[in-house]
Formats: sequence, C-alpha cells, structure tokens
Amino acid sequence: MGNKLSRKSKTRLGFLIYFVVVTIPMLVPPIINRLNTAEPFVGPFPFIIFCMLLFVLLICAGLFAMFEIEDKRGDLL
Amino acid sequence: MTSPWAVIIVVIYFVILGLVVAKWGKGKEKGLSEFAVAGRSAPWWLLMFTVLATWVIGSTYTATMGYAVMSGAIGIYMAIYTVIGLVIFYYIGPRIWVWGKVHNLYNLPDYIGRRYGDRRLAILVAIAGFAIGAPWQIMALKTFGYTTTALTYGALPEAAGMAIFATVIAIYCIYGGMRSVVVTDFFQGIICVVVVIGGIIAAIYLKFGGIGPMFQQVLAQSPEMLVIEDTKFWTSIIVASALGAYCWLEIFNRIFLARSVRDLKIIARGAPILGGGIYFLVGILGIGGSIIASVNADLAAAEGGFLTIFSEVGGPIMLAFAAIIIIAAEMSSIDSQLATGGVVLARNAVAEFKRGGLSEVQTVKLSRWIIGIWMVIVYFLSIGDLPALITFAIVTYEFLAAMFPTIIIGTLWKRGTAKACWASLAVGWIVCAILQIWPATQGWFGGWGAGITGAFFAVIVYFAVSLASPKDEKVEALFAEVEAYKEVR
Repeated sequence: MGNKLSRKSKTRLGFLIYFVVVTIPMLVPPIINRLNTAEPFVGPFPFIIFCMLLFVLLICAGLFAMFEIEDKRGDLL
Repeated sequence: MTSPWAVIIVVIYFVILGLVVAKWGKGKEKGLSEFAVAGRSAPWWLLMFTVLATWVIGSTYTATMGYAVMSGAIGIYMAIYTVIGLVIFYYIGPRIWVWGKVHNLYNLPDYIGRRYGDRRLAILVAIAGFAIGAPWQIMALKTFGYTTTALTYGALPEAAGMAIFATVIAIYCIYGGMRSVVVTDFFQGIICVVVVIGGIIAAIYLKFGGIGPMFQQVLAQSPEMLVIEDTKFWTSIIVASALGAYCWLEIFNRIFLARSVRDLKIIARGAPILGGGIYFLVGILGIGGSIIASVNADLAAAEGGFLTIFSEVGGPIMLAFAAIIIIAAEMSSIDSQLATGGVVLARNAVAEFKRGGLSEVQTVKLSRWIIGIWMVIVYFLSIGDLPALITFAIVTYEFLAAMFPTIIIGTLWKRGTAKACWASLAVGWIVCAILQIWPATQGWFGGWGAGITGAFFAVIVYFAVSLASPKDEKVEALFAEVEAYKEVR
C-alpha cells in the first residue's frame, strides 16, 4: 500500500514547500497589499523594499542549504 | 565639458578583452559540440557569469532603471523574478543536462524533439525562439549606438557605434562559437559584478549620503515611489516572466554547457544572490533617481539615468565604468543569442528541410554564415526608426509564458505528450492574443495580465490532454535514463 518517498524526494519536496511558503507573501495580492507600505523603515529600507530583500535572501539561503544537503548525500541528480 | 578619459578607459578595456578572447576564446577541438556548447566542458566558475549575463542584460541599466525611476518600487520586480527563475533552473537543469549528454542535444528545439518525439514541434519552437529574440538584438545594437554617442559627447554618431560593436561581436562569435561567448561573458561578468555592486553603492553614498538618507529623501518628496502601485500587475509580471524564462533559446542553452550536474547546481546556488542582488541595487538606484531633476524629467532621461548619475558623482571615470557595464551586459546577451540562434536555425530549421540533413561540419559552417548574415540584417534594421519595436518585444514576451507546460512541466512529468503541447500552445497563445488585442477582456479573468492568463489555460489543457493520452514507452525510458545516470566525480 503506497510507495514511500525516497530521502531525495523528501528533501526536494521540503524545499518546494519552503519555496512556496516564502513566495506566497510576495506574490499573492491580498497578502502583499498588507505588506505594501513604506513605513516603518527596517534599517535603511522602507518596509516593502525590505520585504523584497528578505525574500531574495531567504530563497538564496534555501538554495544554499538544499545544495549542501544534496551534495553531502550524493543526491545531486 | 568633454573629456577624452572616458573614451580612453573604454578603449583600453576592449583591447584587453580582445586579447583575452584571442588567447582563450577558441577550443582545441573542432566540431559542432565545441561550436554549440563549448564541448560541454565549462566549470561552474566559468559558466556562472555566462548564466548571469543571459539574465542581467544591457536593458537592465536603461529600461529597468528607467522603469524604477518612473514607477518606483515595482521596478524591483526583476530581482524577484530572477530568483524564482533560478530556483526553476535548480530543479530542471540536472535532468536536461543528462539528456543532453546522453543524446547529444545542443539546444531547446533538440530537447523538445527528443522529449516529445515530434520534429514539427521542435521546428516550431526553433522558429518561435529565434523570432522572439530578434527584437532584443535590434534593441541591443541601438543601445550600443546610444552609449557610444553619450560616451563621446556626440562626436561619434549612433550608426558608427552600432557598426563597430556589430562587427566585433560577429567576429568573435564566428571565430570561436560558444567558447568565445563563455570566455567573453566570464571576463565581462567579473568586471560587471564588481563595478555594478561597488559603483551603485558608491553612487548612492556620494549622491544621497547613504541608502537610508536616500529613502528618507524619497519618502519626503515622492512617497508613492516607495510602494507598489498595482499589486496584481506586480504578481502578473513576475509570474509571466519566471514561467517564460526558459523559452529563451540562449538561457536554455546554458544548461548544456556545464561540465557536470554538480557544476550546474553550484551555479543555481550562487547565481540567484548575484543576479537578484544586481537587480535589487539597480532598482533602488532608480528609486533614488526619481527625485533627481536631471533623471526624472521624462522617459528618455530616466532610461539614461544610470549614465547620468554615475557621470554626476564621478565625472568621466565613473561615466566610463557605467558605459562599460552597459556595453558589457548588452554584448553578453547578444553574443549568447547569436551563437545559439545560428546553430538553432542551421540544425533545427534548415537541416530539417534539407533532404539528407546536414553533417556536423556543414552545420558549423552554415551556423557561421547565419551569424554573419543575421548580424548585417540586424544592423540595417537598427539604423532605421522602429517605433513599434519595443511594443512588439513586450507583446512577444507575454506569449512566452504559454510555452511553460511544454518546456518545464514536460521535463518533470513523464505523462506530458506532444498532442498536449500542440493543444496547450494553441489555447495559451489564442487566449493571450485575445487579451492583448482587446484589453477589456482581461476583466473577465479578474484583471490578470495576458501572459499569466494564457499560461493558466495552457497548463490546464496540457494536463487534460496528457491524461487523456496513452503512456509513451519511449518517454518512460527517457526518464529512466536520469535515474540510471551515474556521475563520475
């Protein structure tokens, strides 16, 4: 009954879920409407521009982590 | 006030670039594999910059910059779309690379022909890919002309600048094929990354006193620039751009250049932070430019804003660096398009119609002729006045997204069939055309753009027709090859 997901598939599915969770606030209009404000500033950045920068950094960090895990396990392909 | 220093610096830069290409721009091997995919031998550090070069094109520093100046925060959409596009690269790249290695594939139409077993579909993708890229090559040459004139303070006319760069690019593409492109992009990519990141941060500090002070000034003078005006349009433009990214022949072609799957994934890991970072910096510089009188006067001033700001903060030296960035980025995109497009037209269009096909030697020879002749055609088109060109380019961009299921879903899902591709392309393109011709109809679909709506219908049709079609044993075998492939490290 049912095929168990392989370790490689689980890792990729995990990253896909992470990617969707991080991406949704940046792309779904009702959510981005709530983030769409200049103030308060976060560091030197207006709020929405900080959110954009955070999105880029979170996705890049996720890709780095994904690569390290797959490379260590020999699951790159 | 004019100064010869800007021209002298640019000339020195291109002499050094010429020496680099002459030394390393041609491989020892001859043949189609060397000419089309640089012998599938590029390590990640060499290929990283050619991947970046195909994403961060010259219009980043003109059109994207101008968009941020005129429209504010929405101009940063390119950073978001680049990162999403490179996540797709991480997922699809390895298996396409394996199929390329096993079946000797060189480009997108090769892959489509192998994946779906349909030559006509491959020819359609080849012709569509070439046609979609053409207006961008014309705009690239126009950018060379504009930059040359700005750099020489009007001493050199635009037509002369276009002729110089068209000749140089055609020569090295014909001479070394894809290897010369990779070497050129690597050299220019390093210079660009260093100069863009360092230059933009320096310009922001010199002009505004820092990133925080810049945004505070924008908040005081033009607060509307610090929010996204239309969030639905923001989503549409990002999704449509990311879905259509791999329909560009030259972007897809990068996958086949890598030495190994590991090299490919290192690129997918590193390129997003550099590409996303560059687009982010250009976007915020554009937002800062929205409160500079010499930059925000009109669209032309906004598109020249990158050169203007660099010139204002650093004189001829910074102007020279800004010009080098724009020219290098534009060269790196047009050379990739030419080298890929030449091979695609020769191998996937002309050879398909010629009885008996073409040998590898004949294909390389014909590719060189196509590159040369096409560059001459592009030059003569560029010196003309083409007011509808940018409109045509943007319209074709919207149609790309409908190719997403054919190219991307078919890579990850073995049930996708050729019939599903034809049906999804027909429906996606028709929906996109209707929404483009009669924009009022976009209201029927919640106000979403033509590209994203066309892609939505294309995906539904692709799944429906594929599930209604029988399984294909050949495709099952193709997917099994990926599982069975063992990489030697």
